[in-house]
Amino acid sequence: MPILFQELTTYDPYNAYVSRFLDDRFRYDKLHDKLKELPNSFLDFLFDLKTADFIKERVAIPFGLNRNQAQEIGIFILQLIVSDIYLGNITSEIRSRLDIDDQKAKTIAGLIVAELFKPILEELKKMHIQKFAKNMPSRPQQQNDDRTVDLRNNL
Amino acid sequence: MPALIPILIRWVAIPLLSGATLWGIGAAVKGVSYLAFFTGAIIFLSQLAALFGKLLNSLATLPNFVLDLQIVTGIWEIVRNFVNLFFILILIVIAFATIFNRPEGYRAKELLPKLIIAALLVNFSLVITQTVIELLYVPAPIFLKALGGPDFSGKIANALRIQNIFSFRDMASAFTANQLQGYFTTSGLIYLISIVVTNVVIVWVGLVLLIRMVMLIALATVSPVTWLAYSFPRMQHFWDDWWCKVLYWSLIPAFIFGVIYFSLLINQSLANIQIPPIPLMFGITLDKFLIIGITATLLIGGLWWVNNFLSKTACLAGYGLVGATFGKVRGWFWGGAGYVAGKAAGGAQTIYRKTGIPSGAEGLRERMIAEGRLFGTDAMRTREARVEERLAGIAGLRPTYPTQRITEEQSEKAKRDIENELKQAKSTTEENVIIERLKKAAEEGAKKGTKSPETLAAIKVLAKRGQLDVDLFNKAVENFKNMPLALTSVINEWKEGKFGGITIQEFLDTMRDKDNKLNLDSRRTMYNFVASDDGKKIAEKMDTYKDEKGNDITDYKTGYEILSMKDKRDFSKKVGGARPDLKADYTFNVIRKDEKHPEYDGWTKMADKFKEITGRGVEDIKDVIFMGIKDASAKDLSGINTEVWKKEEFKQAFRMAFKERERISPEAAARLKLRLERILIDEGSADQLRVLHETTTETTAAFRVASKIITPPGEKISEE
Repeated sequence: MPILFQELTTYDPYNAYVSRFLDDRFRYDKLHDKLKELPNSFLDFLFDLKTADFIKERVAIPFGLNRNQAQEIGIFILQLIVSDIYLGNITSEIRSRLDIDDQKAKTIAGLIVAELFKPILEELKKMHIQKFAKNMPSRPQQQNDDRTVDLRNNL
Repeated sequence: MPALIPILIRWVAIPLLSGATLWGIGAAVKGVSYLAFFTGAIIFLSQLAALFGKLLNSLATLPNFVLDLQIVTGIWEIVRNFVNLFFILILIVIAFATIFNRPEGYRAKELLPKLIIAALLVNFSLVITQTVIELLYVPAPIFLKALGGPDFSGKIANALRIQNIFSFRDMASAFTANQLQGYFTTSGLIYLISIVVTNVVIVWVGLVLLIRMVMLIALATVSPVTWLAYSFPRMQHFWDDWWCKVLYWSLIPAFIFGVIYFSLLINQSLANIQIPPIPLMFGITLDKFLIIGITATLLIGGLWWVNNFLSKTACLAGYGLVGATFGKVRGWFWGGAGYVAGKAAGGAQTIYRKTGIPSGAEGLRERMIAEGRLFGTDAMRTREARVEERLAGIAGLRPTYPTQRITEEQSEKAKRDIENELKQAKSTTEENVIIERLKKAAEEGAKKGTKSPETLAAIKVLAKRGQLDVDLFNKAVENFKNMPLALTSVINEWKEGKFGGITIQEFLDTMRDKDNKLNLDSRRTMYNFVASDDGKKIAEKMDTYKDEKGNDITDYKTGYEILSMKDKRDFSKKVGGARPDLKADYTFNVIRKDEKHPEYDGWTKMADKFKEITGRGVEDIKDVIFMGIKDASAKDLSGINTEVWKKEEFKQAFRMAFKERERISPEAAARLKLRLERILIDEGSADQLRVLHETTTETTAAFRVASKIITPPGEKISEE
């Protein structure tokens, strides 16, 4: 079903964020500063109704998320896009923010990365590696740590 | 002793006496010679004066001399018949000029009326001339009678005290004071001056009247040729000259007799004043000196002034009088509008400035149809202006429209030359040198008030290149303020240059034209520019300002009302799009209140539609803005000026518009919002985004307050 006007603040990442932080001038302005620096492809992705539609139809409803959780997913996706959150931590972030089990979080994360971000994934990975590489730990990741994603070697 | 006497007589007395005698004889001869010479000169002058006095006597009492001469009528008839042949030749020239549309000024519409009038009036040219001469002679006998007739030489002589210059009493006084020689010298000089002045006046007046007779005969006989000259552009100067001479020679007797009369009147007044007879030198007293001096100066100076004055002023005044008179005749001939021919140029200028319809009014009918109701009663005045301007041209008054057109055409040529020069410039430096030269030429032209095609061309090139600053433009406007065509062409060139060289505020100030310097077409061009894509930034800055009467008026209102019907639609759409608040203000405060407004029907339809949607009537400007933006695209909405977004009425309208969209189609509303957000992030301002979110985004906190619930974690949302 297509996204309706009143559902934008729930499922659309940008509108979800604005709805949450409209009264927080600092965060509001900071977001827009970051958006202005994004490439067009990211903006196209962000402001495409398909994104909100995906969040609603493929994530929120199938996984039984409530409004807050759905909104949280949207905000989280926006924060990933503007590189506020490291893509490698997607599973752990989903788990903690939605307060769901690891398996569910991993499934949702996989869905988001593999399907939702498909058009912009490579560019997103490059951006994140550039931004977060210096903060990444020097020792190699443990292979059996399901809460992190090895961007270089996986996906 | 007796022997000595012959010696004394022979050698002393005789030589002495001989020398004295000789000296005495020499002096006597010398004195007599001088006396004879001066006496001869004076006698000659007096005789001449007497002769001219008699002539004056005859000529002054025969003003209509020319009327009575059979020979004048005979010669006139021969000339008239000859001229009639030429009219046919001119008709052929007109036919060719009309067919080939060249040369200028020889086409049927320009020349035929003049030709018809001339062909008719040539047969009355002698009567017209005689009538003019008689009419203008009317004041002369009045002065002549006051002088006591044409034989006024005696009066002049009395005025100059000729008979009182020498008196035995003064001679005796001078002899006693041993100043006899000085007395005779001074008095003789004054006597001579008085005689000369008297005789010169008589001779001059007589000569003038004699020449006048000859001139009037000549002018009367060639009067048919004058009418031919009237109808033929190249011979226009002949027409002017003829009238100059007729007026000069007709008016001169009145002026001459007037000057003499007033000089003698003043002389009489001086005589009545008790000027003390203070001796000055050698027998001449102050009273005599003043009376003779002033009278002589008035006579000679006055006559000199008459000649100068008439030769210059009479021509101009007479030409204007004649031009207006014949303008009247031609006006009656065309149907009764000739009485304003004299004011036609000014009147047509005013109408053209206000209505934008030029005098030739090509396409007047079409424009009137296009203008529709706007011209209403002005349509009649515009038609009148067209006739008036035509009459002004026919009347020989400087036609406004054709003259301007010629200047404009010549300036276009000069402009092309300048543009070629600029194209051939080898570097930017060379170009800049040319531009500076043009600026200097434009400045100097404006300073000197030169309305030459070259000055106009310089301004146009600068305008097109965006090098015309507002200061230079204002000077150009002042210079060409009576040439609306020139102003229009400058503005058109400037529009092509996208009004480069001035700020938005300067543009707005110029467009508002509070000093009423611009013509209508120029202002329309500027308002049309605002409605174009290039003028969007100006549209965004449009505002309310004070007109010349101090009333508040919006740029939108002025622009809307000044433009033609066709342009109004574009203006309303484009400017109304960028400034829905101004458009709404105009709609609500002007259209709504005027049932006769051309847009009133549109207003009522809009109001009905609003009621359909909201269930209530339009109450204020925000309702009108709502109707204007409710169907606007994201692009259109983003194009609305940021300052408008921040206005309270706009925010309210915006909120209403989104609610309406949501009501009609929630998914379309969602698409619109996302699209608008995208555009505003890319191109818009933070203020616009903020307004969008404040008016259309339900915050999470607000949602929670509104729904009075806090959704617990884990609660599912249904698929519906």
